[in-house]
Order: sequence, then C-alpha cells, then structure tokens
Amino acid sequence: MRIQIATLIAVVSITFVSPIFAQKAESTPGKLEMKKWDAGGSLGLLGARRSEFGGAGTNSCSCTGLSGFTANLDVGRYLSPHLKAEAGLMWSTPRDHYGYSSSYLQPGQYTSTYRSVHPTSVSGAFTYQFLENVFAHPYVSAGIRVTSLYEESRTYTYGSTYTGPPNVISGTGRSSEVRPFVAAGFKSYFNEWAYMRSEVLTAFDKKGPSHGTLRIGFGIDF
Amino acid sequence: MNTQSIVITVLVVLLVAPSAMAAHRQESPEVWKGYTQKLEAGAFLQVRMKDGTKVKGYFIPSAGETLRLRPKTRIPVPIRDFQFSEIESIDRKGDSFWSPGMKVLTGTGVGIGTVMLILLGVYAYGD
Repeated sequence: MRIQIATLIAVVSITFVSPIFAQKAESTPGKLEMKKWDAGGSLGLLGARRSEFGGAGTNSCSCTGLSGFTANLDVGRYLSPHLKAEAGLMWSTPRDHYGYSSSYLQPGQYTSTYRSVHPTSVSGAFTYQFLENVFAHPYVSAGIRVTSLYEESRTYTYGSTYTGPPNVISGTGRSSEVRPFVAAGFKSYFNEWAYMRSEVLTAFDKKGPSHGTLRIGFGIDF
Repeated sequence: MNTQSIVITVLVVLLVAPSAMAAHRQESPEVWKGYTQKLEAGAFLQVRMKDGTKVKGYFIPSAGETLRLRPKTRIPVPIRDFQFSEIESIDRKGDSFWSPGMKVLTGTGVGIGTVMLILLGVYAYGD
C-alpha cells in the first residue's frame, strides 16, 4: 500500500505540478530554453545496517558494510532552472539473513531460518540544482524511498539428537520499508545534454542513518 | 589595553587594509580597451563586472567601446557586449580541454582500474 502511495505522489508531482511552474518559465521573454526532463541510469555501492532491508530480528547477515551493489534508473522533471521533481527505481543485490530460535518449540527441538531478501525501491524526491547553464551542477536532494522486500525463506527444524534430516519449511513473502533520505551530488556534463551523475545518499530510520548509497552513472537531458 | 591587544589590532589592520584598498581601486576603461586590443581572437577570458557578476567566455575582436564575448555556457547563448566602463577586471584564463563529464568518467575509470589492480595484486600475492 505504501509503495502505491509513494508512486502516486511521485507521478502526481511530476505530471501535474511541474507544467504550472514550467509555463511560468517559458512565458518570460528572453529566458534561456532549458530542457525540461532528464533521465539516467547508474550503478552504485550500498552500505546498510544489518537490521535494514528485512534484517530486523535476525542474528547475522552476509550483507553488512559496503557489500551490496545497486542499479538505478531515474527520471526528473524540472519545475524551474533550479528545482526538479524526481522519481527513481533501485534494484539491490539480495541480502542473506540468518536467524535461530533461542527457545525450543518443543522439548528437544531447535529451529534456524535462512532468509534471502531481494530489495527493490521506488523513490520520490525534490532536488535543488545550483548554478545555471554551466557544465558542472552541484545539487542536493531530499525525498522518500519505499523499498519492497521479496523474501524467500527456509526454516530448518532439528530434533534433539541432530541425527535425522531436519524438517524444512520453505516460503515466500513480501513486506516494505519506508525511509526518508537526503542526497548530494554533481551533474557533470559532456555537452549540452549528456552528463555523468555522481551522488552520495543517506537514508534514515528512527535509530539514525539506516543505509547509504554511493553511485555514479550516465544520463541525458531532453 | 595590553600589548597583546595592540599587536592583534595592528595585525588585523595590516591584513584588512590592503584588500579593502584594492577593492576600491578601479581601472579606467582605457586600460581595459588597451588590454583587449592586444588579445587574439578566441582568447578565453573571465570578466568581472562592477555589479559583481562574472562572465567567462571567448574573446571576439570588435571596434568601439565594448568588449565582445561569446560566453562559455553549456547551452549556447548569444554573443554579449560589455561596456569597458562597467568592467571591474579582465583575467585571461586557460580553457580546460576536457569537459567536467569527461573528467568524472576518466576519474571513475582510473579509480576502478586502480582498485582492480590492487585486488589482482592481493590475489596474486595470496597465491
């Protein structure tokens, strides 16, 4: 549900709000004719706490530190020469969590759970781009990222003697996480419309910074 | 007022006074006109105006009381003329051969290449 709401906000911002501002810019005589849209892709590194991306309550993860990679697609609509509404899609490498029960279900039984979580995120943000009509634009962003977590799990239940094969229960599930984020970066142009985008992003939850990405990619204005 | 306060006051005056004086010094339009007469077409300049604005661009020779520049911008803009009387300073700059995008791409390539070489070295040493 939260994913639909975030997507709706991003789409409404880009589709309906932007033309109002854009018309103001176009109607001013002598104003520079700027491109209204940009789109791009990027690759990056992901750093996250163990509890992030479905890891809450697990005992260990093969994903702490800068061990994840991301692929991103972004599209933006300029509301003015400096302000932009953006929507983004991010895929992350799967994160493997491991958990075990500290209490016995029945006398002599013990369970452990392996979970492989596949995060996919959508985000909506507003970006303020410094300078005008130059080859290198620094920018800052703030927005919301909603991550959909598709999870495959296997739960092993062992008998007290560990002699027989464990009872295995497999399952799948889906959940979501919502995180506000701030980001800063550069759009470094090759020419009038093609650019490299480099960005560092930090997302937050109630305990502070929850995850961050460092990414670089290519894009075009159109 | 003790000696330390006097020394600090003198130092502050010495440091601030020259820059304040320099800020108020203005060259006459004739100086800039003479300067630009010796420039070749296409010279890359940074022009600072008296209203505080700054423009970078390529010099285009012209007669009269104006400096003609083709501004260096990402999206091309019309050639601009600046009155010599409105110019605060003109500095000749070296124009970068590479665009910022190319610099970032090259830097990223060099960075990734370096990391891969280090990893290769670590694995080779490990074997």
